[in-house]
This record gives sequence, C-alpha cells and structure tokens, in this order.
Amino acid sequence: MNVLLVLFDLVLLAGIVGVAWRCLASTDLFRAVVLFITFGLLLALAWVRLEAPDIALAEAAIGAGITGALLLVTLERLRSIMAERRSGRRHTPPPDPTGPHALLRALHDPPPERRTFLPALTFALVVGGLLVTALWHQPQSVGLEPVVDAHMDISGVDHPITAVLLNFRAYDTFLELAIVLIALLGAWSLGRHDLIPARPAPGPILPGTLRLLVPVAVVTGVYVLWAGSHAPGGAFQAGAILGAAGILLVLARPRQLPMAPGTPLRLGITAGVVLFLLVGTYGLVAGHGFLGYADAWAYPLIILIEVAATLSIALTLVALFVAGRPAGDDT
Amino acid sequence: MIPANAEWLPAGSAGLVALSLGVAVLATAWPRQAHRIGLLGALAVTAWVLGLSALFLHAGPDPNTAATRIALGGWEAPLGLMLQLDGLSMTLLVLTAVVALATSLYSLGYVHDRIERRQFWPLWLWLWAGLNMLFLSGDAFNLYITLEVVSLAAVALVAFTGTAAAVSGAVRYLLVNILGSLSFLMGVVLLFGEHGVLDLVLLEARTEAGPTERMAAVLMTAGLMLKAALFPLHVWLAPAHGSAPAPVSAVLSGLVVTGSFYLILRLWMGVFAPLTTPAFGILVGLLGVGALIWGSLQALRAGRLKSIVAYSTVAQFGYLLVAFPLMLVDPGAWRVVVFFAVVHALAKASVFLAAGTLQHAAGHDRLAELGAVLRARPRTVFALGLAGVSLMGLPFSGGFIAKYLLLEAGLGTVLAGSLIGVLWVLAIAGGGLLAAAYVLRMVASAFHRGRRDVGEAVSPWMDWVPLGLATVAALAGLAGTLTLNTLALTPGAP
Repeated sequence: MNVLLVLFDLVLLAGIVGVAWRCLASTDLFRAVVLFITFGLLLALAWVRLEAPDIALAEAAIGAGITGALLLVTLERLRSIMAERRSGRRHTPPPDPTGPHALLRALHDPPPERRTFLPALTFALVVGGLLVTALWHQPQSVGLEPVVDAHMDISGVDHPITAVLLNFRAYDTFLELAIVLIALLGAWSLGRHDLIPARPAPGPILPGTLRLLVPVAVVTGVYVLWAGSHAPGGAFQAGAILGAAGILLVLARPRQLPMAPGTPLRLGITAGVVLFLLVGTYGLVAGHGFLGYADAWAYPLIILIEVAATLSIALTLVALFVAGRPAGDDT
Repeated sequence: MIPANAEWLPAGSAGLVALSLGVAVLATAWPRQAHRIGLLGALAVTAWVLGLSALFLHAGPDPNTAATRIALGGWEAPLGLMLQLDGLSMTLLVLTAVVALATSLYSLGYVHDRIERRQFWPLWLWLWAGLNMLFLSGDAFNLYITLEVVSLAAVALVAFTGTAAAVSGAVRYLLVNILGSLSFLMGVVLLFGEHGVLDLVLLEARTEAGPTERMAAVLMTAGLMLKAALFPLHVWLAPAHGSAPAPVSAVLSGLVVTGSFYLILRLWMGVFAPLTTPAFGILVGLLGVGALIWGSLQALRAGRLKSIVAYSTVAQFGYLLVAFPLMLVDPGAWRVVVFFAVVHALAKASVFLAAGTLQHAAGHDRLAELGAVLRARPRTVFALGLAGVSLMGLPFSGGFIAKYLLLEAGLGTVLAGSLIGVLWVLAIAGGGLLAAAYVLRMVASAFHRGRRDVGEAVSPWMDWVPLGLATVAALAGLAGTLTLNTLALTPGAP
C-alpha cells in the first residue's frame, strides 16, 4: 500500500473527526453551519477513498451542498427575525403565527448544561467502543455483489448501483422519492411565503458568475443523469445539481421572481412518484410484479422514471429552500 | 377454489401497497380535491384490506410452511426485496384500516378549513400508506425506509397547527425519531455486514448469538423503543400529543407507536430469537412494571385531558413489556400480547378522538373547567367511558379478554415455579386498578361544577365517530378468538 495514501487517509480521518467536533462545540451557529459544510465535503472525499463514487457524489451534492444552503437560509431568516424583534417594530406585514416565529421560539430552548457533558461523552465512548468491537469481528462479507453481477444483463442498465436502485430494489428508491416529497409537504403545511422581492445586485461579480455557473450546472446535471445508466450518477445527484442551479437563481434573483403557479408546481414536484407508481402498477397488472418491468422495456422505462424523478427532486429542493408554500397553491 | 384464492394473496398484498400509495400520490398532486380523494381512498383501502383478510382466512398460508412472500418487480431475495403477509401483519393491517377509517371520517369534521384541508389530507394519507407498507415489509432496509415515511409524515402532522407549542413538540419528536431511525439503521448495517443479506427470512436462517447480532439487537431495539415511547424512553410522547390535532394524536398513540412495537416483536420472534435469555426477559419486564407505575402516576397528576391520555399510553405499553418474560416461559403468549396491543389501539384512538371533540368544543382541555362541556355531550362522554372500560379491562370488553389472557399466562409462569412471576401478576392486576383511577378521573370531571359555558357546537362526525370506535373497542372481545386464530397463521412463530 502506498505510504502517501495511508498518510492521506490518516489526515482525512483526523480532519473529519476534528471538523465534526468543532462543529458540535461551536456556539456560533454560522460557524457551525460552515463547519458542517466542510464536514460534508471531507466525508465525500472519504467515500471516494472507500471506492464508492456514487455515494461521494450524493454526499457532496446533497449532504454538503443542498443541506448547507438550507441551513444557511434558515440561519438568515432567524437572524432577520431576531433583528426585527430587537428593533421592536415590524416593518413587514404582521407575521402569521404559523411562520418562522414559532420555530424560533421552539428552538430557543436553554443551552445544554455543562454537567450533561460528561455522561454524554461516556455514553458516546461506550457505544463507539462496542461498535468498533462488533465491526472488528465482522467477516469480509461480499454482500450482494455476485448476485447483482449475475443479473446485470437483464437489468436494462450497465451500472450496478443504478440497476439496484431502479430495478432490483426500485421500491426503496420510490419511497426515498416519497420521503423528499413528504418533507416538502410538511414544510408547506406550516405556512405560506409571499412574493420574493428583487434583490439589487451588489456588484458585477454576482450576475457575471451566475451567467457562467447556471448553464454549467444545468449541463452537468443533465450529464450526471445520463451517465447514471453506465457510470456513477443518477437522479438524486442530478436533481441536487439542478436544484443547486435553481437555488442560485433564487438567491441572486436578478429580477422579481414570478409567483409560482399552484397546479404546474404540484405536478412538477409529484412527477417522479406519479410516473414511478404508474409504471409500477402497470408492472403488477401485466404480471412483472409491482414495480417490475418487462426485460425489453427496462432501459427506456428506467430512463423515463429517472428524468421525471430528477425534475421532481430539483423542484422540491428549490421549493424547500424558498420554504413556505407558494401563494398560488392556495387559490 | 381454494388454491385459486391463495394465488391471489401476493397480488392482493402488492395491490394494497399500490392502492394506498396511489391515493396518497393523487391527493398530493391534486390538493384541491384532497379531502374527497381521501374519503374515497379511505373507503377503498379499508374495503381492500377487509377483502384481503377474508381471502387470507379462507386460504391463508399453511402455518407449517413459509408465509406468503411477494417478490417486488419479480426479483426474489436476496437480490430483490420481498413483502410478506402472515397472520401478524394481516391483524395489524386490519387494525390500521379500522382506526384509520375512523380517523378519516372524524377528520372530515375536524379539519374543515379549505386551506388546512389541502395540507392535512396528503400528509395523513402518506402516513397511512407508510403504516400499510411497514406491516407488509419483509426486508430490514426497507423497514427502515417505511419507518422514515411514517415518522416524517407523523412529525409534519404533529406540527400541523403551527403554534409554538406544536412546533416545539414536533421538533422534539423529530429529533427523537431521527435518533431512533439512525440507531435502527446502524443495526441493519451491522447485520448486512455480517451476513450479506437484508431479507428477514434469510437473516433469520443465518443469525446466531454472536457479538454482531447482540450489538445490532441492542441498537435496533433501543431505536424502536425510542420510537414506541417505551419507558424510560417516553419523554417525547406527552409534548408531541399536547398540541397535535386530535386525529393525529389518535393515530400517533393508536397506530404509529404500535407500529414500532410490532417491529420489536417481529425482530425478537425472528432474527434475534437466538439471543433471548431469562435475565433479558426479566429486565424488560421490570421496565414494564416501571412504565405501568410511572405512566399511571403521571396520568393521575396531569391537569389536562390529553396529557392524561398520552401518559396512559406510556402506562398501557408497560403491559406489553411485562409480557416479554411471560413469552419466554410460554412462547404462545405473544398472540395475547398482539391482541392486547390491538384492543389498546382501538380504545386509545377513540379516547383521543373523544378528547379532541371536547377540546374543540371547549377551546381548551383543562380538566377542571370541562364540566359543563362534558355534560352537554353525552355521546362523547359515553365514548370516553366505553373506551375507558376497555382500557381498565372490565369484564366483557376487549381489554378484559386481553388482560385475562395476560393474567392467565402470568399465573402459568408462577405455577411453572418462577418466583418473579408473582411480580408480573401483581403488576398486571395493579395496572388495571391504576388505569381505573385515571379513566374515572377523566369521566368524573363531568360532575365538576366549573364554568357554565357548554362550548361550541361540533360537527356530527366528531360526535359519532369516537362513539363508534369505542363500541368497536368494547366489542373487540368478541373477536378475540378470530384474532388469535389469525395470528396463529404466522409461520415460524410458536
């Protein structure tokens, strides 16, 4: 084994633990969020080293990117609410009681006491130690690789991860799509957002960067989606990249964003699960089993589902970033 | 005729998943009609489940062979993931259908605002679909995902009213759920690393009492105990219930918590069966005694109606824990445990719905001021009392049969020479007395003088549905034999 690689792994490991610790110990929320994003990127590197490029992509795009953006925007909102409260006057229309105020109050629990620290540390060490012992005894398991490899020729795609996610265990993937959707429904149930006003560009750099970044992100997203059938990639990663492009646009908002229309948006966020379920139910009726495909149709159907899922994931992530349900949804 | 029937079971189970998912997806895509889709969907799913159970009883799996297993997408385990239908899952599917249908009808009256309705129904239908999928799942990783669907929808529904208390309760519930899920997932990862399969039947065939299994068992059980609010991991339950809408409380205490308990039972009867030891059984039993006493005392101290009901869930789940050591002596006792959980879910859901009606009418649920409101609503009070009778375990109610069978199993252990069996018998009997005390406290508030205000009028759904469900809970005793016979159709279980 290459000495340099071992050294790299050790530094990476120390970095992950160190950053995680700093993130948890930080009393400044902004600092904690930035450290969390760093943590996600280091973790993605670790996945690369573990030869799991699919997970690395997902971790970088979703774990560090989108989650980071969501955390930052939440922080921004909390700050503006605090500032509003401190100044004692409301320059915005009276906030509805279901909005972020409630969340703020809910989160404003007293900080954990010092004396919980030692028991918590002991507990973590004991559980961690037991886990290491259990892992130590684990045999070198090959898992399901041979079984998956034996069935690749009838899976419809060339990349084993995609074959597992969209064919062999499509049910799990369908439910993961559903979970992202349920998260959005939950966020929407808590309140409405109003029209987002345009934000004057602070300088030439932001619009210029956007003009470059957004098309590049779109092309990358489409490539990652297409690559999924034969190489690391797929709907979740592509959706996260396209969603990031959408978030950039919302963030910069060079002009007044139009109010999101209710019905098309609903159709967009549900496109993935609708199509998946339709194909799956057809499989049940046609005798391929629920969520099954006829062998000859596997490839086109998988691509179709992935395209719809990518669209839905991207829209859902942008909608989560904007938070409240669009006013168009209530008409 | 019978073989043809049995052939329909796999398609019927997969069809149930497809139907309940379809209803949820449709309501999500078309929120304007969500309540109509929800009502029709609730009727359709309930009819489907009842039809499936009739089919199951008529031509269920032979208890000596494997359960009905359904390969999704035509891929058999270990490559694909399989659903499985046996007596245990069938019983819980029927329970879910009954409680969920009642909750749906109740929600027609409870959630009447046009905008709120659009937000409520999709989430609720996802929760129901998630429960159906949880009970049908036969794969360790898929179980984790169905648990996530259930938890996330439940958290969103707890926060539904959006008040500070509701959001605070929901955030706490969310954190507990995430911790529980991750703990469960870590156990799944350990099992997969050791055995290379995720399918429960294949796992069961490969597990032995090794360090990995022990660690996985601890992690998965602790995670599920958190989610099931089993003593001493119950701290989230009362705050989450306090401000959740009434139908959500009913489902949370009736079904969601029962779902996690189902999974504990399923795992310990299957994959982790080789790990059980008498000492472990006694430890769980002692936790159960603690739950009975602590939960009951909290219920006796609580000043608000919904808190009493929430703490009574903590107490009643103590029975399920007390039953663990009994199962080690008399393996067949697990069926009694499930029957008890079924009766409890029915009774608890109706108590919560009745409490919701009172709270809605009065605008609060402070026990001391509810007198006039209670007196003005004889149907609701009767529902409260009837379901309470079942919770206490008075003769001829479903609760009586369940507790009688539990006591019988407990006395069996005493006769078998186990000294600690006396403690279990005392706990089962004493728990009933404590239950009587807090149930009577709820009903007795009708005799308080309090304020004169009788509260607002409520929709007829909110008046009649709790009574209907309480009647079902009381009459569940009549279905005792049927339930126990259905449960006997669980292959591999004693």
